[in-house]
Amino acid sequence: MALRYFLRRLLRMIPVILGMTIIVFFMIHLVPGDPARTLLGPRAPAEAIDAFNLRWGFDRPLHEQFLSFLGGLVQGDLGTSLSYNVPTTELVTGRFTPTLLLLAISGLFAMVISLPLAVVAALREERTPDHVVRVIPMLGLGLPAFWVGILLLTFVALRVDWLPVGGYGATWPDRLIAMILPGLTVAIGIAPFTIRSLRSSLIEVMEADYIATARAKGLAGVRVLWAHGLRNAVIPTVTVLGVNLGWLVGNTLIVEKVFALPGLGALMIDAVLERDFAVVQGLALIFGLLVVLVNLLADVVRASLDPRVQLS
Amino acid sequence: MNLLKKRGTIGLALLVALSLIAAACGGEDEEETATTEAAAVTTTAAAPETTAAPADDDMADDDMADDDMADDDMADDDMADDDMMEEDPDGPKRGGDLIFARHRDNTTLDPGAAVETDTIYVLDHIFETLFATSADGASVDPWLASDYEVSDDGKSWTVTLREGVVFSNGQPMTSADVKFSIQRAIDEAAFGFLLSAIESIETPDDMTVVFNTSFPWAPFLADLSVWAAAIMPADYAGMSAEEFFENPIGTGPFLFDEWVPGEYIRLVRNDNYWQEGKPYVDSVTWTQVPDDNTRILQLEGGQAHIAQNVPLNLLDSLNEKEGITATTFPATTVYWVSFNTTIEPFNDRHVRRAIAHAIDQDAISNAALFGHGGPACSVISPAVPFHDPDTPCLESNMDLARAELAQSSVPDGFSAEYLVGDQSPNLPIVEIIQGQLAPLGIDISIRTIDPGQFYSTIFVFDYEIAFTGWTMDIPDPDQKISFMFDPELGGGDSYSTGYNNPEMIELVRAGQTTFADADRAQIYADIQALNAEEVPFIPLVVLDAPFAWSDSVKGLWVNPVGKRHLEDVWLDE
Repeated sequence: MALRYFLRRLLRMIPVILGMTIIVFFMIHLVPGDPARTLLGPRAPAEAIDAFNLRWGFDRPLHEQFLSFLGGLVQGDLGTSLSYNVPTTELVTGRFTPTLLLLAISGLFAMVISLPLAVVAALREERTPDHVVRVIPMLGLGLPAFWVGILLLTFVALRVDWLPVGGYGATWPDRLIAMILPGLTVAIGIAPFTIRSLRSSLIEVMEADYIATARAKGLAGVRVLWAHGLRNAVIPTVTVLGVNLGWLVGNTLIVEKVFALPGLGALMIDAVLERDFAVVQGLALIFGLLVVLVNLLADVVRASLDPRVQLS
Repeated sequence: MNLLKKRGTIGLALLVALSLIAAACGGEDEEETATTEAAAVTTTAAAPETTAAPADDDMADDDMADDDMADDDMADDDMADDDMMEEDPDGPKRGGDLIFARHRDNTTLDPGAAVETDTIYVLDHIFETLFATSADGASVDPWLASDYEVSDDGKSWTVTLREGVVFSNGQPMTSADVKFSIQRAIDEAAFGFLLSAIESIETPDDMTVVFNTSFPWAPFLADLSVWAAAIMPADYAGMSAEEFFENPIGTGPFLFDEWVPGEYIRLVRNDNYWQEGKPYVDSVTWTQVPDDNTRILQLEGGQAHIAQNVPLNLLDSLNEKEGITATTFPATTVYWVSFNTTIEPFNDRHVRRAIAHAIDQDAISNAALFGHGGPACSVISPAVPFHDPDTPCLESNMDLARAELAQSSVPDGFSAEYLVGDQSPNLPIVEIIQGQLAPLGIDISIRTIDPGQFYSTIFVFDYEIAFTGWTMDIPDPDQKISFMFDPELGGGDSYSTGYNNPEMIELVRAGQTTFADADRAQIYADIQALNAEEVPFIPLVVLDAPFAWSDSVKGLWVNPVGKRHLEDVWLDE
């Protein structure tokens, strides 16, 4: 049943991805701007521009270019990067890990921040701790990520010897350490959503009959909270995280730039500015896949947390 | 049912894992919060103290700094003791890994494909050229060449190669390598057009190359200094071009080691380098740090030795920090107002002259460049050969501007759109000009577009006034002068202004074929004066190149065309 569900979801992704591909392709091609001129600069003679366009097929009608792009796509070929002159797939694989790592650690940090705060707020509903928890993290929502990042770099990284001032690192331990501040930056941005969602569902859940039953059974307060309260309350929060992933990915673009992480976001920004068509298309596709897949993952996690959720 | 149960178990397992992590991290988190809070308290406690008693605090800081320095000194002494036998204690030290933080990454390792300065500045250390821009940017020095001679008709250049130059694979450089490299540049390089005057290349012996040009070509040696004319082994040392540029072989001070796109590119010392004793450092790593602030913080935190593209507004405050030098090197970048002279009213020189009179370059330089760089009068920047400091520029004077406009086709003013690429420092400059032109009744609206779109817009003349400029690649003004003023030979419709003045075109072509420096100087002075009178381009400011580096970096210099020569840099750590 679950397998059929997966297959159906994956199949349903195809039109989504196709639609996305079309939109991205025509958006980046129809935006004014000429990669030849951008890359070769104002000084390049007209012949060099023509040769460039001929080489990359930009002299052909747009629909032809689109068809050859689709043709390549079916064969797993995302085209060649104009500025790096290497296959997009090669360029992107190298950049995948930092972004995934950042997303994972941000998600983890967001939960780590949210759980205790939401519990405190829910258990002290409408009292001072609750008000504090509801107001203070909202700051995270208003503070732009690049600014939070710079603050963390200035006031934490510069003073703590073992934290790097941006950069990625050569070994896995180094990389994990390098992710602490960027992860925190993204988490600060998303925590307000998760805290509020977790808090309100926890309040609701704690008033449910089964909690009263658990209490009546004589279970310890902590166990009631963990096993019965949080397990149920966390479900909507997982959805909130999943739904906000698009936004989260957007934030990682900025955070990657501030922390000099060699991820997909940094690549995307350069590619858009330089009209590196193949890379923009490839990345948009990958980001789209990422969002769709994580939403699927969120559904699975939800289903595994809550037997009442049917995977169908 | 079974499945459901299983699913429940997975869910439970996930939850347990999550709770464990949460509990563990939560515990840590609380501790962390506690520490951070403590730290925060200390910081806030310290902050008022700083304001209340700055002197004390400074002294404390100084003491601490002194302690650090003392430690460093001791370390240095140790080092010096070790090296005393072979090295002058105050002279360059060998060793160390130099970290150079910059805002963007390389795009290629092939000098033929390279078009973008940051890529070129790295390749300069792997490959070298026959001639190189001198330290002051005023001329070229023989580099891989040792001498040259030009025939009387100015169409044949005999270049003698430097003795003892070997490629990083140990193979000696010969005339065959030079012929192969230059021919490849002409045929394939994006900037090969600079060498298009070359008709044939002869190699009478191993150490001599003769270049025959199809017409007398004065900027020839400067053109040979362009990165695209890099010397590489003939036939890519037996490899395919693709293989070769994965691990390129050149004569430069450093060897390619590793490139992780988006992260860093590292070069290591070339032990076969022809300049005895150089380079000093073991390796140079260019890291990509796109954010301006992060680059500076990395420098402060000791993670980088040199940072480039430091924002001009932060330069002075950074320079005041202990252990950091932040300054600019003279560069060749000039920004100007350019007009679409194919449309009204900009085809009217009185209109252009009125605008030139109304613009106050000093105000722009002070406000937008924070004193780094300066007002420009000539289209040729002071760091470029044949710049004429006495160019008769139009005076900044509102009365003269009004008088000039009164003689024009639009005496009461007009509205115009000012096109500007959305990148630093363009917009503030354009806004100042907008204000300066308002009293003339010239109503400027600003149209910003993203830089990727800018040139393709002006190249189809879809603009009225535009913000453009130029940075030199070689130490000869012809590269830009012909582009700016010769609509045909320059190939760019006079940098997309449509400006077409036979007198100017004649001067441009004379500049290309006149060899005596004094005569060329006069020609370029005339060109600068003619532009000042007709103003198809109104020069605004000259921009210098901002750098910051830690005090442990010694011997850093950057010439006006941006070449870094890191073989001269050593680390005193």
